[in-house]
Amino acid sequence: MRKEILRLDNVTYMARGIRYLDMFRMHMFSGEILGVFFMQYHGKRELVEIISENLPIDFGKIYLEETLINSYANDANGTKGTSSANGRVPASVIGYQDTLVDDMTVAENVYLLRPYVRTHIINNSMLFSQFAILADEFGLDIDGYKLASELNELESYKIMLLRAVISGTQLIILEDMDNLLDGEQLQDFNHMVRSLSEQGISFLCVSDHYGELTKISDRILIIDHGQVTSTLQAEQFDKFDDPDDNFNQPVNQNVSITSECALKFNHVYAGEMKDFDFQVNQGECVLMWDQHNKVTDDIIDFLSGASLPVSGSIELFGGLSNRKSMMRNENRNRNRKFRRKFIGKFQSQYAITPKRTAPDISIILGDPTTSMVIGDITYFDNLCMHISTRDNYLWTRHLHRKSIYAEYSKLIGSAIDLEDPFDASRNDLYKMVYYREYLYNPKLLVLVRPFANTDADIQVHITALIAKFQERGTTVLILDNNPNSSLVLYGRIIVVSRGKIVQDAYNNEGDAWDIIN
Amino acid sequence: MGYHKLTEYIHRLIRTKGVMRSLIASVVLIVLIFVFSVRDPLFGGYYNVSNILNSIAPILLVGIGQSIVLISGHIDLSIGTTVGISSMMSATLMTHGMPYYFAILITLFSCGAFGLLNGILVGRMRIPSYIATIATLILGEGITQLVAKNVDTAFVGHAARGFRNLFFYGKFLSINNSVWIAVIIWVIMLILLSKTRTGRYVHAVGRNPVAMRVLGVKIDSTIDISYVICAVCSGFAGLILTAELGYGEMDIGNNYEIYAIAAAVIGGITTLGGRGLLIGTAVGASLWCVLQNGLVRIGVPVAVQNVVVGVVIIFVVYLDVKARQGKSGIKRLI
Repeated sequence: MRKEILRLDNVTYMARGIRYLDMFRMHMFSGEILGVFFMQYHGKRELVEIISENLPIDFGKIYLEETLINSYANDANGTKGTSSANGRVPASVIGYQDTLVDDMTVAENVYLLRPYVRTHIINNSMLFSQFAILADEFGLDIDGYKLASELNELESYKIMLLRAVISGTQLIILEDMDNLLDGEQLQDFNHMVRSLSEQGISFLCVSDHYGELTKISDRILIIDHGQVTSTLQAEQFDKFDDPDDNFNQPVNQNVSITSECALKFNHVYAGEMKDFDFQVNQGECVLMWDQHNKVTDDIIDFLSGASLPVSGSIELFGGLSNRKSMMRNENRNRNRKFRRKFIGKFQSQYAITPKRTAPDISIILGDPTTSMVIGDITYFDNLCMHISTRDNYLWTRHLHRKSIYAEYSKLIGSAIDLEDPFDASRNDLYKMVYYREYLYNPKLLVLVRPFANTDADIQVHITALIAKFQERGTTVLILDNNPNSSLVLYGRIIVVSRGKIVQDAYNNEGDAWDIIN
Repeated sequence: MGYHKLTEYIHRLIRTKGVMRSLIASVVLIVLIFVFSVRDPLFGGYYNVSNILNSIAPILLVGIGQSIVLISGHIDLSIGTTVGISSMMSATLMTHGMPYYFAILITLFSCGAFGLLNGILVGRMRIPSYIATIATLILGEGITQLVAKNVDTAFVGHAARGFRNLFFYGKFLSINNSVWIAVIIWVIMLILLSKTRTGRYVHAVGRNPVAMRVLGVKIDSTIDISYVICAVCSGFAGLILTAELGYGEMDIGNNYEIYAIAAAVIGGITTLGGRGLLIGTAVGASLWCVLQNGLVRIGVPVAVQNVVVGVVIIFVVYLDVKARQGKSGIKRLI
């Protein structure tokens, strides 16, 4: 008989007046890989925190290895909920938070950064030899002497996994690994997860992408608004209506595309980028599938002015070459020999200004509800932040702000009046970020992993927001390492593998769909 | 304003970031004033109040400068040196016969340039602000000592009476000009931070520099401006202290960087960047000076004064830390 590792019995969790989990019931067995698919983002983070941090719950009970560790019943002091794992870590979480220390070696990260380490004096040679045995056992080709900062993403997550296993944790939560690793890496990682599950370790895989869960899970729970609505066994996986499949027609087919260049990379070399050569025309919506996540950061750095390519050139919005800036660059290079090798030449009328994003470009980074929101400034001020770079007097002229308010309050609703933007719902935060750029009216909109860490509802919402830009004729460039959710939008896909462009196909040729699938 | 609108306004004000912490400091200030007034009946007398206000003025000025730098996400530890440079430069120029208004302009311009140096080191060269400003602190001290040959200046003389009246001894409504200068600069900076684009950018750069970079905001320029403002405010503080003393003194700014940080942090300016109100700085500067003055008046030994001041700062900042820990917005960001 299989041993039960985790059971949540009618767990209800509320915070800030919102019911995140509602009579939530689930159980897991030892050695099982249980997928949890959230139809909405609602409750996802809370479930992970309740299990991993043993937060007090409002109703229900939680059992770990058939021992009660969390209960809604008040304790002797009248404190809500009694949570006690008797000092044990209920579950390890592997996901967004990087828990490796960059300046420590891999062996030190695995053996020293875990509970119940009793040795005070560290014997390095023993540490490394133990790690070598462990790595051999799990088929890892990682040197224990390597610093954690030198590991790539896959190696980092494998080491975190190893450390969790060494800690004696029987339950490991994998949070959105499909967002954090590319296709090949995910396959490799799942292979390791599968072999560990065969040794009795249980895995709880939490994700917004149903398709990815079907590749690894033994069972999948479907969660809708904080409640388990169905449990699917492996043979039933195909029967579920994957919300991602509803996006099977691009929405931008009627947008007019011109032959004028919006963005052009001419034989650019930088970091992992090798002979990067592509062009995006005005009005197009292009998905750049960065399979190994090698070039996205570099592209963003170039467009935001944070760095320059080693060689090659970048053109923005075509137009005539600006001979003056070319000459200026040439003189600068001639006068400073050491810079000749390291400065790229910019041949555009709108030369990229060093140190900041060019004026007609908008960039929305991944997970914008945290990365692109400026705290301690009201929602409305956040909305006006980008347009203020063009309008010097926006903050002093009441009429400008009043007209913006009048126009955007109809689109956004009452959230526009919020003093603290983080009081807004996720939908409203996405509206703020996207409408900020809509107000700015850029010629080129660059989106980094727009659908990462989003549920189906948010994805529909984001799709609608991006469609608004396309209706205006804005050129859209999507940089993503997981293209499935972006299928609805793009008219063209550029595939990048290990820093090189390997394929460039248009959607209407049918090739693009074949590439993804 | 109707009753409902008034209460709504008050609620909105309290929800504004930094107001609660300023209120906490204000309550502590009122309690201290009450306690000292009870212990010493002359504490609230005209002369003592005038003394307190005169001592608040330079600390408020350096506090304003430090607050703006803290809000932008950095720190300036060279404030004391800037005050010293201001004192020595203005006094040296006046003792050499330059009219005081030219001397003031040149001094403030030089302080601004010193601030710009800090801005370049921190914003463009990306040197951590505490390292860069310690370096400029030492650099500035060395240059001042070299130029002045390690001696303070002579008395600026009766010809500089205009300068001394303008910056200290002159009175308006029975309050010294030094206080009015500090108040006027405080009001200007309040308007700058709340009503201008630069002020918004200072807050935003301190809060989320990554987002500001991709939004195309000139982060380096914003940092430059914050350090220049800080240096100019320190310059004004130096001028006030020089006007009071009557001569330039190299060490006149000693410990002013600590007073500046104390005034800012007590008033609720967070060291994490992006958050804080200048109202809090004014309360912080007042609390600091009232505490110092009150402890002296009631006869507390100097050593004990330092202990008490340290404890009060820890207490007020701890309240700030606890208040921040409770915010779900912060928790989401971490």
